[in-house]
Amino acid sequence: MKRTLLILTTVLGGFAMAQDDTLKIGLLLPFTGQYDWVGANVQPVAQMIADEVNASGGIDGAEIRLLQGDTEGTVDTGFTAAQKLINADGVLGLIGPTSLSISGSQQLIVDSGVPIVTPTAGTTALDEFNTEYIFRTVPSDSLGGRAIARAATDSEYLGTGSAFSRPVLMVARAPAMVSFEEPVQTSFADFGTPVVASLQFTPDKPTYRSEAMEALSHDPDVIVLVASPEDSARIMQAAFQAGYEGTWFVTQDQTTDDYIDLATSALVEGIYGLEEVAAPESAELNATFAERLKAYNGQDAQIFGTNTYDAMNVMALAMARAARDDGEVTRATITANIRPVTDPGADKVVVHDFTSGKEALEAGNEIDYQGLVGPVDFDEYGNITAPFAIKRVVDGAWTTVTILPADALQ
Amino acid sequence: MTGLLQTIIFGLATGAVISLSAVGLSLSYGVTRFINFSYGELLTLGAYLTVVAVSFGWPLPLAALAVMVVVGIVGVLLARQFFDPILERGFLPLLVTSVGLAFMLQNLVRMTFGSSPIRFPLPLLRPWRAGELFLPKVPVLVVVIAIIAMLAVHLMLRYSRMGKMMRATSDNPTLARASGIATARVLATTWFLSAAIAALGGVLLGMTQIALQPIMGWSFLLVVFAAVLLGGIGNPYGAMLGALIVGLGIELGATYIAPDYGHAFAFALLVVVLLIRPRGLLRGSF
Repeated sequence: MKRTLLILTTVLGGFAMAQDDTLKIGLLLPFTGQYDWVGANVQPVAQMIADEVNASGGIDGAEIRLLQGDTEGTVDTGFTAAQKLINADGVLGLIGPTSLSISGSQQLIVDSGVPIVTPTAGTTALDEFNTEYIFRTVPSDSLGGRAIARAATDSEYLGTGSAFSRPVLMVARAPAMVSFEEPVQTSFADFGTPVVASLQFTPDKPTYRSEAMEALSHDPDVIVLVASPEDSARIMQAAFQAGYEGTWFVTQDQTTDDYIDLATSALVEGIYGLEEVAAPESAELNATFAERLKAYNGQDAQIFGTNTYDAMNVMALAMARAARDDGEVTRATITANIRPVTDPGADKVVVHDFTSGKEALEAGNEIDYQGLVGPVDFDEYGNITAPFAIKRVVDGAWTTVTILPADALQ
Repeated sequence: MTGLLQTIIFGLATGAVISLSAVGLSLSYGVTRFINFSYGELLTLGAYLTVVAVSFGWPLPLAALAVMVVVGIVGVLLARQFFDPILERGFLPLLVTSVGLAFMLQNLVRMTFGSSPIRFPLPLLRPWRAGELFLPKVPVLVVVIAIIAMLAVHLMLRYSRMGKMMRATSDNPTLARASGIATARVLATTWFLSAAIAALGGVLLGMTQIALQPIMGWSFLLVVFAAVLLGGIGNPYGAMLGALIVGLGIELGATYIAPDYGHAFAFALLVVVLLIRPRGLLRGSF
């Protein structure tokens, strides 16, 4: 009996040791609930990079292990999941969260000194929140909102004869959506066409007849709609039933084939949409990434896939540089090494993936990671810039009308 | 004036969906004296299974009828498995069981169909237009279907042998049993009817909402409860009346107070009515 206990203790102890030797990165994302698709899109890409790191010998011999923290896309659960990952699991860094849940955990993240590189939180709440721990490989909603206003007020970007003159803004009263309201309003005014009305509405209602009627009472020629796909479909249907014949401008959640199926092609024909796109110079890298992911899990890259690729590479390369220069991989050393592996520099080796970055670091070089979304040069608050595509539904499919370069949004 | 007319039409449509769903819930309460919290999931099942049937090429009306039968049978099986064995154990075990069953069914739908919304297979219909007035076709269709269904329930309750047995059981189960009524059969029929009506309610809800989600029935249950309480719990005719008031209240409140306060206005009405008539508008049996 004693011998059995001794063996069991040794095995469990050894297992625990093996667990402790790994470098834990938390995926703080919705894996269940209405936004489970975010976790489903991010996780395989993150795992693909973790596998690449581990196959290359890990970080100074230690393997990366991903731990999931399910936010369910809500503030409360997001806070609990962040607490568990940070305090109980002791993760060294976080990938995520989304704009849906970040308000509950952003202060905890800063207080714990854990670095996050989020591929999924465009919220304007992070625009000037923290200069040390928070980085994102997804552009801020401020830029997204500005891109919508820029395109809607300039016929050149719309690919039509005239720009819109009576925009109405409809925004769902949810953290991830409201974040767009101020940038869209301000940007329309900046570009000389203030919004006629800005309406917030309660999300997840079964019907939106009154809201649609209220929007139509302002006689809009375009309605900028910031809402979940299901609410968007209901609102567009309600406006159609009320006789609306103007067009719509929607955000990235709706710029998908699934949304056309949900709302029907007849309803969405001619509407405009916004989509974050890769910089033209990254097009080849994006094609390679898509092929690699397909070979890895047999699936196409989805929304946030490229952002996740960059987020994981930044985190892993910062770990590799921390191991080389600081001799240990901790939250503090990872944080301190994120900018050194991403900032541009004259003598730096430009890398686009972990393996080549690690080789360059081991050869004693300094590196500048340039990713799928662009150069990934973080500003003071950890934000990046990126170009946007203005898309339009033509013959039942999303087609790119024009690309708005990042400098057009200044 | 045009706006008011339009709001009333929308209110009638909202009331029609609530009304039909409330009748099903009220029927089962009338016979079992238990509020079934998993009732909303039967609405969800009805909507989702109709999408499945239509995807196999069935016409929508035929698909809806077939799904009513299927969900009716599912309702009986669920009741046999989960409710009938504890029907005599009082309110709390039934309440907890029905809430648990609701979560089970909701997650079953989520596992099967995913969390992403799917479209109810209804073609896009331009509204009828008369001057300034837009008359959407879908709400009119919803009202017509609900009226036909409720008329059928009324005729069944009034004139069929089973309807009379159900009314007798609702009035006094012990006396009904002593009079030779096979109350077990009445109970099974009630579960079937209640679930089948819920399925049709789900179809109408799908027609109204367009985008289906696994949580749709659960979310809708609150207004159904409100209608049932307002009308007098256990009385299908009261449920119809209560639903009409709630539906009109939601639309009038949303239009003339604020879109976000439509439900608040309807529930304020409910509170006022219950303060004046604590047992609802009509007596609680049928």
